[in-house]
Amino acid sequence: MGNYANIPTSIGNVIPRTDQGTGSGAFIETSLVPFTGNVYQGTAHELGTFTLDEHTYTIYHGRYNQSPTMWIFTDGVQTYETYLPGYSTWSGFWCDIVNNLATIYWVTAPDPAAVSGYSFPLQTGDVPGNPYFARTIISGVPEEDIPEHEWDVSPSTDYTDPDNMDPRGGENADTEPFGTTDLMTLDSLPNPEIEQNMDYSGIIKTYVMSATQMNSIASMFTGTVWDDLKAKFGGVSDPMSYILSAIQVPFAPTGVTQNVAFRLGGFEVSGSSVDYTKNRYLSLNMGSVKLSEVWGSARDYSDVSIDLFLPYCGMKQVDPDICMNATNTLICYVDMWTGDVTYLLHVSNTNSSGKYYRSESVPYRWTGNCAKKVPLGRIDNSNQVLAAAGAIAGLGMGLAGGLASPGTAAVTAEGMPITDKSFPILPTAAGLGALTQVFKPTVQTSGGVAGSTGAMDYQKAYFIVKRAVPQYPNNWRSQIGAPRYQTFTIGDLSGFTLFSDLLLDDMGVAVREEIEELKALLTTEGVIL
Amino acid sequence: MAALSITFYTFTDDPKVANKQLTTVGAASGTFRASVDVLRPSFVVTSAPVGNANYCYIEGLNRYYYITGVEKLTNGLTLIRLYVDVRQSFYAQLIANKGIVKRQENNYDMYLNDDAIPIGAKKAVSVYTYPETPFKGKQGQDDFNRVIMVVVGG
Repeated sequence: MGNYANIPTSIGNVIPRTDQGTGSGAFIETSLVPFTGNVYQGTAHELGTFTLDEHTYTIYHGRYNQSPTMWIFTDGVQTYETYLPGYSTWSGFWCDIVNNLATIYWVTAPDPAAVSGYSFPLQTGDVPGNPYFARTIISGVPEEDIPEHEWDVSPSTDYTDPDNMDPRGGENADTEPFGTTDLMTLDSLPNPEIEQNMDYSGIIKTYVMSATQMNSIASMFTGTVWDDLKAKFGGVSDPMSYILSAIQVPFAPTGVTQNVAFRLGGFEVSGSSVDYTKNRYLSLNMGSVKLSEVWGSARDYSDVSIDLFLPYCGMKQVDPDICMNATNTLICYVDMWTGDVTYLLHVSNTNSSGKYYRSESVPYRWTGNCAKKVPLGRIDNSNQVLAAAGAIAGLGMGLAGGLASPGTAAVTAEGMPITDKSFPILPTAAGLGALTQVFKPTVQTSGGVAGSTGAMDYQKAYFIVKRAVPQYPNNWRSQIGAPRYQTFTIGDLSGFTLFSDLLLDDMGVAVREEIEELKALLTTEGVIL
Repeated sequence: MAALSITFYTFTDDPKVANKQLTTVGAASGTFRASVDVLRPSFVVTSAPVGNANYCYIEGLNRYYYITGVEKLTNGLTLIRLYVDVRQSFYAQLIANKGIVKRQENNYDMYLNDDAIPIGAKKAVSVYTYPETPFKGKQGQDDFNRVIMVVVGG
C-alpha cells in the first residue's frame, strides 16, 4: 500500500519519475487516469475522485520544484495548486502534516472560480459563503516527499515567488530542521467532569438547592433531627457541624437528581424536598475568540497589549506573541464543593510563515473562586477544602462511636471540639485525629473579584486589546521602503532600495573613491532601481 | 590628450534613480588642456551648448555627471563644473552584484520591526467577548444561584 509502482508510463509530455520510494498506510486510491495537466516535474499520483453537483473533482499529489504539491482538477481542467505543507493563497486548499500524517482540507463550489480566496478562512474553519467543504486523510505519505521544512535550497530565480526565495537571513541560514513540536489538541485536554468525578454520596451528600428548597429544610429546627442526632452520637451539641459547607454558586450544577429528602447525619428532615448531585466537577468550553491582526505587520505584536478578564478571577495579561493571530479557546472547570474555578486557555495557531506550520498549546491557566458564603452553623467553613472527604472515603469509617477531636483541636466539656476555622469539624471515628491538614482553596483575585465581589462583575470572559496606531504616509514605501533583511542580486530588485551592506565586485573603471561613495549612497540614501 | 565628446542632458528623476530617463539637449567635443579630476571635472566651453542641461555624459571618461555649476565667463566662455553620478555611471556593474537589503519598496517583510514609522500616542481599544459562560446568575433563574450544601450522612 502507498507505493508508486503503478505510475502511468506517460502523462502528457512529462517524464515519469523512477526514484520514488514506498510508504506505509493507505492511500485513497482509485483507478489511475491519464493526467492531462501541466505537472511541471515528475508525475502526479491520483489520490481520489469525487463528484459534486455535476462536477468531477480529481485530486493529485506530486512534486513541483522539489516540493510536494497537490492539485485539484475540476472536470479535467487544473483549477487549484498548492505546495505542501501549508496553503495556497489563490486556491481553496490547505494541508497540514503532523508526524507524517497528512490532512488535506479543500473547498469546492458549484462554480470553482468562486472558491479563490477561501484558503485563509479555510485554515481557521471560518469558511464564508456557501461552499462545499470536504476533508480527507492520507496516511503513510512517503517521507521523501514531505520534507521537515520547506526551505528551498536551490538558487533563487524568481524573487517574487515566495517558494523560490533564498532562506531567510542569508544563503546559508535555516538549512537545518528546526525540530518538531507536540500539539496539545483540544480533545487531549483534561476533563475533570468526566475523569475526576467520584461518587461519595454514600457518606457525603452534595445537595443542590433553590431558595424554595432551602426553605423546605428549615423544619430541621423544629423537627426531631437534632434530638435524633444527639441520641445517636451522644455529646453532639451542634448538629450544624454535620453541614460541612454551604455556598451559593452562580452556575448550574450538573448530574442533578431531583426531589429527594434532605438528610443530615443519616436522619431525614421531614417535609424536605431538595436536589442533589453526585458530581464534584463541572467542565465548560466557553468558546473561542480569534484575535486577528489589524496591520499585518510587526505592529500587531510589538505595540499591542492584551488583557483577558475572567469571571471570579480578574484581569490577566497575556502575551500578543502567543495569542495574536490565533484561536483562543477558554475552558472553565468548576469545583462544585468549593466554588474553585480553573481556567485553561488553549491557543491554536496556524501560520505557514512561522517555523511551525501549526501549533496548539495551553500557555496559560488561572484560578479563582465563585462561591458566595452562606453563613450556616457556628463554623466559618468558607476556607475549608473537602479534600479531606477523600481520606474519609478511603478509611471506610462508620458514624458510630462519637466524636473524636482532630489532632490538635481542644475539646469542650461536651466532647465537641472548640471551633477552629482552620480545621474541618467532622464526625470522625476514634483514631482519625490525623485529619488535621486543611487545604485552602487557591484564590487569585485582581481587584477582589472572587466570590461575592465577583458576582457583581461581568459574568463573561472578554479580551481587551489595545493597539498602537502607526502613521503611514501616502506612498511611503516608494520613498523609504519597508523592512527587509535578505541578500538579493541587485538587478532582481525594483523600486526604492536601501542596503545594510553590500560587496561590489567587478566595478569596471570605477576608482576606489567612487566605489566607496556608491556604497555610502546605497546604505544611507538608497537607490531607486 | 584624446578628444572627448560630451552629451548634455536634462533629467527630472530623483537623483537616487540609478537608470535615469535622460533627454538630450546638446553635445560638444573637445580636448582637455590640463589634467582633470575624473570625479569632479570642470571645463570651459566656447559656445553654450549646455542650454538648460543639468546632466551630461563624457564618453572618454565613461561616466555620467551632474552639472553642479555653470559660470559665464568673459568672451562668451562658459565654465561648467561637474560631479560624477556613481549610480548611473556604474549601473551595469552594480546590478550584477549582491547586497543585504535593509528596506525595499516591493520586497519586504512587514513582520520585521520598523522604526521609521511613528505610532500615535493614543491607542485603539477593542473588546472581544467569549460567547459562552457557566456563570449566569440572574435573579429568577432557578437553575443558577443555587446553594450547594455538603453534609455528612446525607
